[in-house]
Amino acid sequence: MTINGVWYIVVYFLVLLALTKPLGLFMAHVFEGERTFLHRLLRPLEKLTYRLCGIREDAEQRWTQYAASVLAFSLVSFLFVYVIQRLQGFLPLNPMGFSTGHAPGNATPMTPDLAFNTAVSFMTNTNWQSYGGEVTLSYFVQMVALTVQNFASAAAGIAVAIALVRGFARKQANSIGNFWVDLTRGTVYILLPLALLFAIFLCARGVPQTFRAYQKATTVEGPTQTIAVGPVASQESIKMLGTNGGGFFNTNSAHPYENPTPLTNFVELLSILAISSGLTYTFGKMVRDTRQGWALFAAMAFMFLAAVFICYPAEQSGNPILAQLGVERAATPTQAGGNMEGKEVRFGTASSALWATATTDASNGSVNSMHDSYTPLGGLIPLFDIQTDEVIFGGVGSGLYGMLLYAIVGVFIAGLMVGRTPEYLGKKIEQKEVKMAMVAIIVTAFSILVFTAITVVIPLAKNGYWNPAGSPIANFNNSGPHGFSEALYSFSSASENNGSAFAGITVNTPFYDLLLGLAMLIGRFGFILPTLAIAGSLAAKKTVPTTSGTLPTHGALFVGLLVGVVIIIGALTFFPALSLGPIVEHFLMQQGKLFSMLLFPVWS
Amino acid sequence: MSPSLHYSSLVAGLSPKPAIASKEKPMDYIISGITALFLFGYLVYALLRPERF
Amino acid sequence: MATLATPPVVVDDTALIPKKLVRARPLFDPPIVKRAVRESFVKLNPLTLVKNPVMFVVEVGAALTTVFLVRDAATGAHSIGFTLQIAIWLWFTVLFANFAEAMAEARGKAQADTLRKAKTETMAKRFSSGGKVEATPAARLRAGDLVICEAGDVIPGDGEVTEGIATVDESVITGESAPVIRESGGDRSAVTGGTKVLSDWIKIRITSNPGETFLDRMIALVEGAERQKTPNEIALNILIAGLTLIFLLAVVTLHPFALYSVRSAGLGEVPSVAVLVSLLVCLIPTTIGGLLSAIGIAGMDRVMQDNVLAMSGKAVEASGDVNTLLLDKTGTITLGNRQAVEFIPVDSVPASELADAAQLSSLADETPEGRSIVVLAKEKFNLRGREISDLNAEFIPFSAYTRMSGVDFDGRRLRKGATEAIVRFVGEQGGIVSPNFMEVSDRISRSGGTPLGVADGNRLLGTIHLKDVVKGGMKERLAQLRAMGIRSVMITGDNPLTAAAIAAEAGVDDFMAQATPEQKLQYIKQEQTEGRLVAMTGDGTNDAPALAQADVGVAMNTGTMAAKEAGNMVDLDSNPTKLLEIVAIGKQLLITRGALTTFSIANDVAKYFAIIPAMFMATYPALGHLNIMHLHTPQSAVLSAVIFNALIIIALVPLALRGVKYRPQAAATLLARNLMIYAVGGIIAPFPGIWIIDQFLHWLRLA
Repeated sequence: MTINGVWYIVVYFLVLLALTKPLGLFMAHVFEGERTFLHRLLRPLEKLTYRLCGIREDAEQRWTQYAASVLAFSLVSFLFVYVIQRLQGFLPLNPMGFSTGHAPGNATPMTPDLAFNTAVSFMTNTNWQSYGGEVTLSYFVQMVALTVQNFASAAAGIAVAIALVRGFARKQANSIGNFWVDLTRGTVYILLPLALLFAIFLCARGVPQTFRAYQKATTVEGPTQTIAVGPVASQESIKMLGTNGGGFFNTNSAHPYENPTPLTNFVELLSILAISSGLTYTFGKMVRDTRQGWALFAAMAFMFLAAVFICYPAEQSGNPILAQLGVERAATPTQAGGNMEGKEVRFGTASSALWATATTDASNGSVNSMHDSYTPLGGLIPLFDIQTDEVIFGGVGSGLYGMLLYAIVGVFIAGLMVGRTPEYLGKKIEQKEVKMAMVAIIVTAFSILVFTAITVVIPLAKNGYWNPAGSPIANFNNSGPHGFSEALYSFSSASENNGSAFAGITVNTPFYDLLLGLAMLIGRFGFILPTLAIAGSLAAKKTVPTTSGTLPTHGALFVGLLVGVVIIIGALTFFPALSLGPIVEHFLMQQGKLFSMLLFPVWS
Repeated sequence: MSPSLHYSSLVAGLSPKPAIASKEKPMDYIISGITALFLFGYLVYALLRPERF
Repeated sequence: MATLATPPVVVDDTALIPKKLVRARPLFDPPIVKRAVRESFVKLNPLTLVKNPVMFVVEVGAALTTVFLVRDAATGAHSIGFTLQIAIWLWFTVLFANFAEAMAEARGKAQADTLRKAKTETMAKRFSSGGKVEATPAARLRAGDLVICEAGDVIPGDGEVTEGIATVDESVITGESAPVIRESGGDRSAVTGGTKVLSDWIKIRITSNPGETFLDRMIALVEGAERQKTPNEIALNILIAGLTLIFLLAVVTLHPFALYSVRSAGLGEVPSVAVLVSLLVCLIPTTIGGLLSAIGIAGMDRVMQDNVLAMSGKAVEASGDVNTLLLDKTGTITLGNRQAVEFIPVDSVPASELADAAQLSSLADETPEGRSIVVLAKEKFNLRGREISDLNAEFIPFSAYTRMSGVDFDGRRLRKGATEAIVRFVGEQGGIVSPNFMEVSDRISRSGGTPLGVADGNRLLGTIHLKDVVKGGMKERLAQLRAMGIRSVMITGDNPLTAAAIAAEAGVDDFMAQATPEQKLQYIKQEQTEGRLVAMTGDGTNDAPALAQADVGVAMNTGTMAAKEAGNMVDLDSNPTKLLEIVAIGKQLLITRGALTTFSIANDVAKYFAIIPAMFMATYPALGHLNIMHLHTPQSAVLSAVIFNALIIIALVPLALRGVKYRPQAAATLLARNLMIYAVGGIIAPFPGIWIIDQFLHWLRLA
């Protein structure tokens, strides 16, 4: 590790900490329906939305109605994105003529399975991309379908988290708020203004925002090069803020037009975790005990820093095999040092490792370096972050409700140890809560493990419809444990709605598109529905007064307990799988064995 | 073939003995798989309807 | 304080009956262990085991391993020794869990057998419709029948005394050999079938049908036949089933992962079914899964050892959750009766004269207050109680009208009584009341005491200070309760002033003065609306609604049948302080469950480090780095983990039956301590455990 690298991470964390309270307080006001400084400007827009959509602002929903609204909204979103993608050849703002007769030669066709995968991906806030944006999608699709979903899926996630928080805050209530109102408020007062400011900032730093076609340029060496442009800034800003992560370009935030300068890199990094971090304060504010929010923040911050300070040294120490070959890998004034494969020289090791950790702590999934090229331990961190259900700040909303589910499990086990029926925030944790929290945790584990298992052993016919390359493992770029990590990472990313790719697998085939799409659906709704059921059950309960016999949920002990529960459950579930992936690869690397892009051993 | 064999016996006491693993008996795994599927259904029922237990 | 000892009554057949409901048996009492061992095999029946998801999964795994083992043995495959050992230990895992449950049950069953002896067939003397007495077998009595029981008769069924008064030996159910009085009307009219009339006679109206008597229910409860899972137990079962499901997924998918790895590395083999089953069994929470029901049964058992009969496990569990305790002042917080603590003479009257007069006026007073005056006079002024007959005196008993009592002799008229009554008495005699007397009496009232004026004719002598004496150690116990987060509320019929003073002295958090049964009920409802759980004790019929409303209602065995029906526990010792013990047992029950669950999950870490490298040693020798325990061979590593997993169940049986040690502490302290022992300890303990077993196996050349 270098001094500069450590400072970068520390300053980043301090700025995040400073943003938490003001942002959280503002969001609490918005969702409590209180007036904020933005109301003068945006209240008419909010009201207009209600009038146009026929939403009654004061109508409350039971959890079942709330869940039905989330499902209905998601279904319509999915259909909308699917149809627009399939029709992109007939729609405007398509200067490159994708899905038409004069598409560029390297264009990816918009097949039904790819359209399905992408529609599911953006509707579930995953933003897994089986396509390369600049060779597949028209500006119209990018803006009207994908960018809109970046707002909608993020606002839906925040709404679900707020509904759960209301479950804790309310007493003997049968309703948990109104999804449509929460969705509108989250979009109008939080996402829209932030994204707008951010987009303008990005434009100012050199991110393109244009409808013009790709530019042809002649390089100094003579050959011509096509430079992809488009309405990038408007998509980039919400992609980061809404923990979406679906890049305009294939290389995501490693692309100089998505992330041109060190300053944009720092601000984009902040925007990954800002809202999720703020929501911990919103939670504390809404349950009328800000210490509770800070306890969640502390648990998240602890795991975040621990992850960064495992990933960063692993990357900075680089590959021992290169060292044996006499390659300089120490940091010098002219180079960042460490494992620079797959990293942008302009960002260096520290900010890449920080980004890899932040993007997988959150369900963001954007990248500014390629995780596939990380050292085994460096790559283990993003993978494990994802597998612990992304509760380290997490996705906007989803991080908070995920962490609260873990808190429920933790409080249940530990609460018994103080000799009372476990309580969290005055709500008794009983059968229904434990059941639903377990269902949510099991469903995502099921999706990750079972789909990875299918992928690594299922034999498919070569040149068939499902996977033209034959068996799914034929799509792996690497053999051995590294290839296994690639598959495990893909299904972890999809199931947990992260969307980042370890990369290294060719995934745009019907087999992968459909299976990953299914994983995303299971991961999103297998978590949201139990969460809302818990919200409904909690809201209906009485609040038990706190006494000295109550397990305190705001101290260091609780933070430690929460961290323990998250890590132990994650580790116990995935240790066997991880030991056959990154863990064994780490030991093998120490012994000088690598898994390069070799042809996979053939067997029948 | 792999130098790793030699290396690992240095770092830990475990020495590979083949008897722990079965000669691939596909039938065993199919029967076990069906049993696991049954247990999966049973446990899901135990999770969702615990009052029946 | 001088208590009046009940003269011991010799009862001929107490030898058969345990002193306490459940004799404190040694944990591993040989007959009980024998019974439990037999039961552990009976419980292997899958139809029984299917009710316990974790152990059922282990049994299915053991069966699967055994089937393949038998097949391999039949086909003459070599080196089946390893699989054989795995299979044996998997079966032992199930047996050990069964044994834990059987142990807990056997203790209750042994007790039920003793109770059944009391349920011998008796003949009842029933009044026929014509009013004649006829002999009827007890089993044929119906509710509403009228029977008569005379000295020596066993009461044929539960009922209410309608006529007469008798001493009854209730040791069959209470274990207490001192007889109790049962009489018609009031709060001592309930009798229980199986108890025995010692003297006199009573007419009883039977209130229960055959098979539904208190004794029947008691036998069923002790035996555990009516055991239903408590809400927390069900929630814990969900968690355990969920964890089992997660581990099933992790282990089942490990097979395809291994297949990929083996093909990819071109080395080693896929782990056998026996090894995969071993990993699954080691990971799923067998410790808590095997001990969960034993913990619940043992918890009930502990309640019973305290001579409390809980009608359901739910009630015991709820007592751990109690936020508010309603404690009756008399008998719980205070010793029960007011006692004289001080003689305060008026003006210049010598204290000894006051004491003398007080003693004389109390000689015939058989109330505890009266007796305490005699005792105090003796202690303070060495005045011996004089023989009443020597004095040739006429005693004036207390009456509600005069509110005085006293004695007339030698022309003296000694009176003691309520301040106003004495003032009136002295006034009638033409005496004067000193303002000092009124001051003293006000002061005593304000401090929660009762002033008792003493006069000799028209001469006012002074005041006796009667005081409620708070039980020794009560203040400390209530402080402990507060530390545990439990509010104590004192219920008393006293006026608010007196109540406040005693409340302050005893250190209760709140009090209810001049409480009526309706107010009690109201108070409980109010507490419950605010989300609190309330526990109370009661004995009278008018307590029944409140007992029924309370989350934990402990009825006194001396109380009425209505009270016993309304509550969810009966204290056979009729000791209201017992509530505190019950709360502790309820908490201990929950703590034991939580602690063993935590321990069970924490154990898994070490098992991974034993089994995962062993499984893939041949495929990825580099995974040998994970073999941090340096176990000898892959076989011994897997076996050691399985053996450790089985033995830990047996090792923790005593803990499950006795319960985790509980000290009244604030939740945070308690949690920190338990996390240290069961979470951190649970992670560390298996490492040396598995290592030692591995050494042992290697030494025995078993693997």
